[in-house]
Amino acid sequence: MTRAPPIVVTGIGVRSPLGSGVDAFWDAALAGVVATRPLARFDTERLSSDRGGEMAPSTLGDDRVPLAVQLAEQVAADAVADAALSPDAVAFERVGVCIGTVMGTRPAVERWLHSDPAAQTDPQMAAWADPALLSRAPARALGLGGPNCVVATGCAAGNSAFAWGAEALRSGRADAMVVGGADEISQAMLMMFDSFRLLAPDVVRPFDAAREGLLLGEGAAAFVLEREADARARGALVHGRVLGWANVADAFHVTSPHPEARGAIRAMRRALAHADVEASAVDHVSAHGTGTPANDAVEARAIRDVLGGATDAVPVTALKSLVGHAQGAASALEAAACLLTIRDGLVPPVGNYATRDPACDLDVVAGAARAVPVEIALSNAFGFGGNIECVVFGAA
Amino acid sequence: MSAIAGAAALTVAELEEPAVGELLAGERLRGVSSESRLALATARMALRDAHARTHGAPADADALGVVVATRHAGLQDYVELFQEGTRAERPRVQPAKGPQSGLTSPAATVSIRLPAAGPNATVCNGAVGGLDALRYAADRLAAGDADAMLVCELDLVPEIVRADPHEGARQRAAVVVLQRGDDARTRGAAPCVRLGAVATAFSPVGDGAEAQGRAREQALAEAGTADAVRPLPPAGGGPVARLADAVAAFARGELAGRWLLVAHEAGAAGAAVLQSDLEGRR
Amino acid sequence: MTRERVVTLLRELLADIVELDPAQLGLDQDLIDDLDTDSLQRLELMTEVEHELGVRLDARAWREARTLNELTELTLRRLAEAPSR
Repeated sequence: MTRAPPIVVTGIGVRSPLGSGVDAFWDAALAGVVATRPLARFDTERLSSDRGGEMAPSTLGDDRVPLAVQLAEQVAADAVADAALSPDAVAFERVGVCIGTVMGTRPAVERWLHSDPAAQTDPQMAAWADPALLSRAPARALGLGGPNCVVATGCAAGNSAFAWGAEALRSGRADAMVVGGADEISQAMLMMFDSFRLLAPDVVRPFDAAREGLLLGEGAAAFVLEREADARARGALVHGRVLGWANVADAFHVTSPHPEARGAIRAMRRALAHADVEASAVDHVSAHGTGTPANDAVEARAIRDVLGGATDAVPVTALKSLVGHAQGAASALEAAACLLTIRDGLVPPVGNYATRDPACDLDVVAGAARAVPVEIALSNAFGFGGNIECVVFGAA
Repeated sequence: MSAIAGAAALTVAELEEPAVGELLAGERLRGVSSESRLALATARMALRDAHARTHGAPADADALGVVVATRHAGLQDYVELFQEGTRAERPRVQPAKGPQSGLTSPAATVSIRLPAAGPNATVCNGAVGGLDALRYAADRLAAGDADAMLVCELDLVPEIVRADPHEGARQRAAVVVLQRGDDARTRGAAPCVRLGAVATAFSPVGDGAEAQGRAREQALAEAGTADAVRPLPPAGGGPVARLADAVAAFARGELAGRWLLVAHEAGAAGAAVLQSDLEGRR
Repeated sequence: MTRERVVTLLRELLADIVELDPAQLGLDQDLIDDLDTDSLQRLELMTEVEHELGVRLDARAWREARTLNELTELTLRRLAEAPSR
């Protein structure tokens, strides 16, 4: 079997409640800053929680453009600039875009409905109600003509975008791919999680015995992916590698994970096999870690099943403890953290972790960032309805 | 540059909403959105047909994947959830409505109900999405991640985005069961459509004609066909052909020979070379 | 609200959710093992009861209850504490 061309990351762009720009984001993550706080843009009076990971008001632009579209454009531009990707180096008609999302532009629809409940046939609303805008707008802004689409695989979408982009490169359909995830908080999703009684009243506590639920977050992250040979040939700076990935369906229930973590275990094993990496070689796991009673227990079980005895020595982080659950952007933000962990040998702490849960028998990085060399990191993303996508990242 | 190595569609199915009930008889579907039901019914119909052709299921559950192309899945439920939850009088949020309001709901529903535990994805690229989904499915088969892939294109015009309030909401689903060409032959199946190549592109400026040209060229080059390939016309008076139109045409046995499907909108474009060996079925 | 009316309400709401006849739902049957309900359906039931009776129920206690009788007790206790519409 011919070895598939290695895929590398040459650019990163981040906009998040933790900070915008890679450095601000990373400094805050390493410091364990908890960016969830009382929400300003939403009516939380009837909800069991008034908190979330909201973008700072100063970062919100023209509210006639859906926030998710703005964020996608910004991080794509940041990533392309970071990669020093210019038309001299790569024909821009060979550079594609793939963005992962849960909500697309739907939260913008809420503003229309809120201001005019009868605006049901407003053509402007119909024009905005298209998730594909999240990949088309960045492509238009940057002049990119390669394969272009949005992947909406629930909370796994950020990871899915990596897989789509990497495969476009391996099959020669593109010479560079801008991939990532973008989402904004919406009243509907706040209400939905409230109806599940899954909103945390105060903070998100992944793997903690006292965890009660999640908080929503928003933001975006994007990356430039290239075949390694091309990146090296043009002298690009390589942040890290995308070693492997896998996507399976839990095929169990619309909201609950399979109690024996069947899908999660299969996806993690397949991703490692695809990366040609032994479980014993995994140095770090970036957990999906939503902070819900069900997810964290099932995920911990899956990690232990896959890593076996080595689990005790593999540091685990859960970025949602700091940002909240940024939905389609979550695994994209987490991918940024994995790559930076690999670069710096620093694992960001899980926020709000106080009491060990015996059912979550993991090496949870708590209190402060941990210094540990990481060559290979596994990033998990488990979507509602059972979409599971795991990605393995490696050192440059 | 690799071409799609012989993915074959065993069967195609296309349904509009009224035909759904019989295919879902006996299922508990309370709270499941109409588009999820439509996707499930169409998938069942396609699998039943594939089953008949290969004298057995096309794949075990773990090796059966699902990819759905949609723009508006869940939108109607989303709007209703929002309106019911924010109204002044007795607001309520029905928990089951939340998951149904997601773009992933049809793919999730199909994977849970069949079951299909292989790869699972939902892609959004308007009229071109069906071709992206076809491409994704062919890639999964070539990589050995699945033995059969259900490719479902949803064509929905929910109430909330209808241009004309007097027009009924439209729902159409098309499903292709895709297998590796070799597998189909081994099982004695005569694939009804062979997938030669799929290519997609985007025009960041202009009307998209440039992207259509590139996608067309790339698909023809990958399919290795120098012969002129006829363009597939849009069906049912629609402005542009999409995967569902190709499915409908092949299902009706209307198209034999080699065809080029070009889908495009708003700068996005996709092209697929499809070959039918049928002499006319059904 | 009488016990009987709460039982009837719960039974009818659950019957609607699981698409069975109310008579098929025994009051002491286990909601999970016997009646095969999933967490989302039991949550739906709670939401419907809250909506009908105008009270907010204890989600944790609701999740732990295993029979319609137990759910009835929970609901009656809650009604006794808070005024309903």
